[in-house]
Amino acid sequence: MHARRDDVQDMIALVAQALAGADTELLYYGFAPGDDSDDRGDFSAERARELVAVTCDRSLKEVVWHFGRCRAGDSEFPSLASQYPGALWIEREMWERSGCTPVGHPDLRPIMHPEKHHPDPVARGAGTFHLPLGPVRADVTESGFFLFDTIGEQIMHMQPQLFYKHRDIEKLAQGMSAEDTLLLAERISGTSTVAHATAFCRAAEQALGYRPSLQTERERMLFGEMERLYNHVHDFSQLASATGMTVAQAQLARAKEELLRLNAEVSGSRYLRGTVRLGRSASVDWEAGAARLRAELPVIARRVRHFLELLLHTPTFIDRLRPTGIVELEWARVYGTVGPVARACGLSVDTRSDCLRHLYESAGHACMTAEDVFGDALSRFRVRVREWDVALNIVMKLLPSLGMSTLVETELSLAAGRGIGVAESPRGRVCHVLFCDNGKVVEWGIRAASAWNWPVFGLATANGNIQTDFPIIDASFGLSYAGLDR
Amino acid sequence: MWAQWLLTGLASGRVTTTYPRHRERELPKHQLNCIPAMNRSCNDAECKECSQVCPTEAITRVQTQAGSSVRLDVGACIACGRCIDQCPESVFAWTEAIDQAEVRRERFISTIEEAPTNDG
Repeated sequence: MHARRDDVQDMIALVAQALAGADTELLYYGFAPGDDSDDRGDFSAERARELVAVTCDRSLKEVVWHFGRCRAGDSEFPSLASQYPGALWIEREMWERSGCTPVGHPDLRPIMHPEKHHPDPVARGAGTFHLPLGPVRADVTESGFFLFDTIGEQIMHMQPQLFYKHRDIEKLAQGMSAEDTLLLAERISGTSTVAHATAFCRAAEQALGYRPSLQTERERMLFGEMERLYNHVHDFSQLASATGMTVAQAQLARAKEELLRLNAEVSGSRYLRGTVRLGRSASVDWEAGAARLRAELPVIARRVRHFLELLLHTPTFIDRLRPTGIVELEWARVYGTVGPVARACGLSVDTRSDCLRHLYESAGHACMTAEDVFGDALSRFRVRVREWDVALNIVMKLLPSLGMSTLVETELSLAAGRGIGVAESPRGRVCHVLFCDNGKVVEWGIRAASAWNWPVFGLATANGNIQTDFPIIDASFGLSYAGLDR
Repeated sequence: MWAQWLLTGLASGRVTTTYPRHRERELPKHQLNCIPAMNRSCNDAECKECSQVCPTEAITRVQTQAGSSVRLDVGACIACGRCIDQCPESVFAWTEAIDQAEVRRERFISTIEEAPTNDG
């Protein structure tokens, strides 16, 4: 891992060039506190600040921090999005937060304040219809607004407007201790509690030069896979619901409830809050917890597999999923999509086999890409089905090695430093970047998995689908709104 | 066909609980760390562990007739569990409850005072 500091023009050019290769991914892109030692924590446009982009070369396993120096009072910076579409929404946010303009951005519009700005329809002419959907919709779902341009049933264009759940969590943490910030990290997106907490802890521990014990990392892996299990079952249930398969929906929702109860039996929290700690292991009785998991998971797995098997052999289900909501391979590449959405297009993008390979190799993990690389809803479904089995295997494989060492308490006092942490949430790679000074958080950057996939959602919806395909595409993506909005 | 599904459903058994009916019977079956309570008083005015680790200031030290005691405001609690982990005297513990509804805000606040002794 190394860092380099260039003028902002050179930095953007270098990063764009690196991302043009197939092996480099952008982990994080945003602002960093400036290099000035006096003036920390003051996020105003007047002080000198830096752009930061952290890239990872998957083949070399190299993480590079690219810093780009801006001059004090600069109100512009060259746009990365003009060369790398994955940065389109990021730079719109950066522009709105700071007032600095990304020069050359192909689509500079406000993104963060849905109460002030609505997307404009694009298609006009005889027969076109503009359908606004949301932000309050039927079903228990997060708030988000979608503007459809349709002609008859055919969707010509779809624009999501999010940020209804914007809480400015990154700003809340400024001046807080790392322990308190961890509480915020757990609450960014409830269904990715473990992933965000893990990524944050890894970033904070790196900022201090502290390596957690293997026991701690194994626990984090186990909880991460338990999180994946219930999330994927939820996605299966939602897809069954969207296609009218009510028996499968009910039975899979039941399985999800049983998994949530199992989480609570092991950790005291249905959504696994309090399991990931900074610099130390969870306070879980593993003898009892492992026994519970060994006893109950196979029973739940039998039910889940039975109904997945039935679904995969139901023609009316399969017909609705193929070919629906196709994500073209080219989009998946240039937008930096992650998780099952990317893997359904054939991209082997999985933090557990890239940055975290050293941890997951011996735990039985294998990156599951779609066998049929259609990139449609069926491919995404099939990827999740295979991942569910892999997750279960990892849990069973990790259980014997837990609870062996005694709890090691370490006082982590955050002095000064920066760190980056990644984890694979059920939706893909989550990344946290942390800058600390004087024992407090100065700047915190969060990049949820769904934030990479949201820009592709509108494209996939408009890709030759009809209005009634929308619930299926929505369920097959399974994106978190809170993760993007934070 | 529907008979098959009916039998599948019946054979599955039920997962939904009878809660809130039979509440006292249902709640202990689940391990849900949701609402803490104090199970005894704490007069150690020197120890500030709980009030310092609480991230939402739900725990404060107050002066009462009996001396110094601890005040817990469950309405401000986010169930992080730090008080339970950190207290050296195990004053705090999880209750079995997942529900608490009050008509007045102050009903969420509790203090346990030690009875004043005769030679105090």
